[in-house]
Amino acid sequence: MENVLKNIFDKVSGREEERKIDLLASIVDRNKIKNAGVSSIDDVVEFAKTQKMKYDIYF
Amino acid sequence: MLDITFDELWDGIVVPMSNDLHNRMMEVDKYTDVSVCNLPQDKVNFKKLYESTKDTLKQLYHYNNSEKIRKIDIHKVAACFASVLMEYKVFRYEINEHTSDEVFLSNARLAYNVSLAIIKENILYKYKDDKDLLQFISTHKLYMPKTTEGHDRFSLGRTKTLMLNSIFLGKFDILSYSDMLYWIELFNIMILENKKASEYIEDSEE
Repeated sequence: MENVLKNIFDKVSGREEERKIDLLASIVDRNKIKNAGVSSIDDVVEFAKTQKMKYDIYF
Repeated sequence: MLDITFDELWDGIVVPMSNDLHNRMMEVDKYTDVSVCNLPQDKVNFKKLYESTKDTLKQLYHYNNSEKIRKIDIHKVAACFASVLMEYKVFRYEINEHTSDEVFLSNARLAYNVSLAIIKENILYKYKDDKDLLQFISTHKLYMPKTTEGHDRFSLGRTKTLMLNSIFLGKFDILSYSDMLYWIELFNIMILENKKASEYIEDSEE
């Protein structure tokens, strides 16, 4: 009975939707991609400059 | 990314490459008037767009491990550059019945090639202690995979896809594009190290 009342209250007040959004946000957060840079773009570009290499163009 | 790094990428790759592509366009297409937005004021605007694109990517897609500094890998840096180049549109023109494919694909071509230039620099850095490989990489283009008969060559296909996606989808998929760059890089590493693809199979989880 208490659960039914709680559900009714949540739906009437819109909190059911908010709760679902909070749940989804936490599920999304834990499924975000892991990313780690092996080398730094700063080091890469600094080194490339020393090689005086011209870029290529691919058609 | 340090300011000096961004400056080097803009001044060393984006600007000269866009000028080269523009010159080529003028030779091929004598009808369409194409303006090139690679001036110092464009650099400032482009940089802001790059920073906001990168920050949004990190905020929405990256796992927040608060213990570590969250930098993005170079494939994603290159993909962000491609994304911003597609959005910013260095080449601007009016469409008419004479608009050539050269002009139509120009922004996609620039985006694709700038991102590849960054990947090539990453490969160069990987072999920074190998003089012979450095010499080879510096003087050769990246290898591209063959495509199936009847398909466009790989680079043309990628360029067309970029342009078509920008028209039909309106949104650049940075993650998928960075995966493509990772594959191009791995393809080249396998060739440079003369290794078989089977040596790069992921360990089984079971």
